[in-house]
Amino acid sequence: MSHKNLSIALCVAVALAASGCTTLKGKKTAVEEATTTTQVTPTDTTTNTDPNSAETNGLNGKGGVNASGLADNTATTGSNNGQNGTNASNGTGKNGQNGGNGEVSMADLLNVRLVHFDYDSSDLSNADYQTLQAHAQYLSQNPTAKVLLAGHADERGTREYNMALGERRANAVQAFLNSNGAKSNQLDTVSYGKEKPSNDGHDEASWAENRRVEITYKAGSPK
Amino acid sequence: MMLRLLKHLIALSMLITASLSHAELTIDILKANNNAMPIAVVPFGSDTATEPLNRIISDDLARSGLFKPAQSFPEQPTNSAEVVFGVWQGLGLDFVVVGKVTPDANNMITIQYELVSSSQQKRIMGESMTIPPTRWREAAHFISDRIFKQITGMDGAFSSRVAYVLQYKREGNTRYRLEIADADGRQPNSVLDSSEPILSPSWSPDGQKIAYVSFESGKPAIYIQTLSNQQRQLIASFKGLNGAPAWSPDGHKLALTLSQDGNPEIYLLELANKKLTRLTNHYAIDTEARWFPDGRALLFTSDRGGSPQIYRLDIDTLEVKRLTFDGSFNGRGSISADGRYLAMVHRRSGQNFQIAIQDMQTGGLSTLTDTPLDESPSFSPNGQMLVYATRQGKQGVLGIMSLDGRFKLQLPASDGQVREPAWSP
Repeated sequence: MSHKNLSIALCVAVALAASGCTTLKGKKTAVEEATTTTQVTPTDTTTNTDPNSAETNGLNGKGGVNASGLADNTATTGSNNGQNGTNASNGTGKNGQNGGNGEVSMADLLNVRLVHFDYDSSDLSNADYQTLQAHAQYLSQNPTAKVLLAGHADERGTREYNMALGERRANAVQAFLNSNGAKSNQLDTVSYGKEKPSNDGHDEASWAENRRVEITYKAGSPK
Repeated sequence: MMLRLLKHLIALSMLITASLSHAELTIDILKANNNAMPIAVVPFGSDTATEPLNRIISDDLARSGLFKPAQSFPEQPTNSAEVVFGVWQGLGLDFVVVGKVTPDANNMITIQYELVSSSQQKRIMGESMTIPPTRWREAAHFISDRIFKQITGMDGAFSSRVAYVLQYKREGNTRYRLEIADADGRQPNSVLDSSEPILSPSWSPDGQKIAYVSFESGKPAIYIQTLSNQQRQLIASFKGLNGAPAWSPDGHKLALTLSQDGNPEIYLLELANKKLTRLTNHYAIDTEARWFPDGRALLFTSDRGGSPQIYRLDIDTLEVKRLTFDGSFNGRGSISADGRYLAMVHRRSGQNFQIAIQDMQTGGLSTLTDTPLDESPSFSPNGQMLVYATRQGKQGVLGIMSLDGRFKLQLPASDGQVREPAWSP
C-alpha cells in the first residue's frame, strides 16, 4: 500500500467558527428570582385530643361549630357558636363537622380555599357552590378584599393543553364568584397547568387532589 | 512543544472533570439494533485526553442505533498506511477509523483522521482540522457526522443540541432551569434559572435564539433569548395565557397561544413590527401550534370536537381540518422537516399517554412507546430520531428513539426531573 498524503486538509476552525454553532460559555443569565408563591392555607393534620382545643370541640359539636383554631381565636358568625376552645397551635383544621343544629359556619366555609374537579372538566360541584357562595358573600361585603384564583390540572396530558384547562377552571370559579356578588376588580386568575402539583403521586387519588383551583386572599383576608 | 500540549490537555481534562460534577445527562441504551454495522474507531495517536476522540466518536455512532463500535483493537494504526486489512477483516470489522493528534502553533491542535474499508482494502476518506482545545468535543462530533454521512448517505445529528427544562431542588425549594446540552447530553449550559416554572422552549430556525414561557413575573409570559449573549426580550405578557411559542420556518413570526379574548386561541406575531393576528375563532381550547415545513400551515391541538385532537390550520384561508381520529387524546404534534411524519402524544385506551407517529401520506398511526406518561416529542434535524420526555420509575428523564421505535436510549439526569425537550434545528 503506497503512502498516500492526506489529500484533503480543511481548515475546520473556520468552518466551526462560521457555523453558528455557538458554545455557550460565559455568564449564566442573571434573572431576579420571582418571589411570588401561591399561598395556601395549610390543613392541619395533627391529631389533637385536648378537649378545649378548637379542633376537638368542632368534632364534638357542642351546639354548633367552633371557629377552627385561627391564631387570634375570634368566634365568628354561624348561628350556634359552640364553646370556643383554645387554639390548636398550628393553625386551621379541616372544616369542623356539624354541631347539634347541623349548620356549617361561614367561618368554616371561608376557611376552605380549594375546589376540585373531575378529569378534563371545569364543572363545579354542589359542595363547591356552598364554599364559593361564602367567599362571594364575603367579597361583596368587603370591597377591599381581593383573591387570586389559581387553576391547576393533574399530570396527564400535555403541558400547554393543561395550562388551558387550568385556566378554564380558574375562570369557572371567577365567573361564579362574580355572579354571586364579588366585583370583577376583586378577582384575579392565573393558571399553572400541571406545573405545580400539590401531590407528586401518580395514581387516581393524587390526580384528584391536583385537579383544583386554589383561592388565595391577596388583601382583606377573612380572619 | 509536547510539554505545552500536554499542559493544555491536562488543563482541558481538568475543565472537563469540573464540568462533569455539574449535572449532566448520562446515556443508557435500552434497546439495541441487531442490524447495527460493526466499526472500529481506533484510539488516535498521541490522544491523551481524559475524553479521547475515538471514545466520543464511538459513542456518537452507537447512539445513532446504526453502528456497533468495537471496544478493543488488535493493533493501533494512526494512519491508513499502517492498517493491516486482513487483521480487521478477520474480526468482521469492515470500517476502520484511524487518526492522530498533533500540537500546532498558537496552542492549537491539529487532528487528522481517515476512514478505511478493510473489505475493499482501501482508504475511503480523510480530513485534517486545526482547532483550539476548547472545541475538542465539537471536532469529535464533526468527524462523527462526516463518517456517518459517508457510510450511510444520511446527515448525522451529532453536532446538534437539545434544549430542555430541569426541575430540581435547592435547599428544599423547587427551582427550574432551562438548559441546552449537546445531543449526547454533555456540556449543559444554563439559559434561565428561576424559582418559577419554565415551559415550551422553541428554537429559532437559525439555532441562535430560544423562545420560552416563564412564570417569573407571577403569570406566564413569553420571552425570546439570544444564546450568544443571553440577552432577552419580553415578547408577550397579555392578560390570561401566553403560551406555546413556535417559530415560523422563515424565522420572522411566532405562532402562540393567547386567551386575552376570552378563551385560548392561536395567534401569529410578526417579530419585526409586533403585529398580532388572530387565526382561530372557536370557544374551545386551541393551543400547541407548530409549523408545517412549508410555512403555509400550522398544526395545533383543539378540543373543539369534544376531545383534544390535532388539527391543521391553513394560514391564508384560515380553514381548519382535523388530522387525528384514533384515540381519546392527541396533542403536542410536531412535523418532521421532510413533512412526512406527524409525531404526537397519543392516548388510545386505559391511562397511557404515549408517543405515536402518523404517516402524513397514508394516515397510518404507529405507537412507539409503552411507558405510561410520555410527552413532548421532537424530531432530530435529520428526521431520523425523536427525543421525548418519559419517566424512569419516579424520575423524569429524556428518551431518544429511532422512528420505528426499535432503537431506544435514555438520558437520565442526575439531580432532578428533566422534560420539555426541543431538538435544535
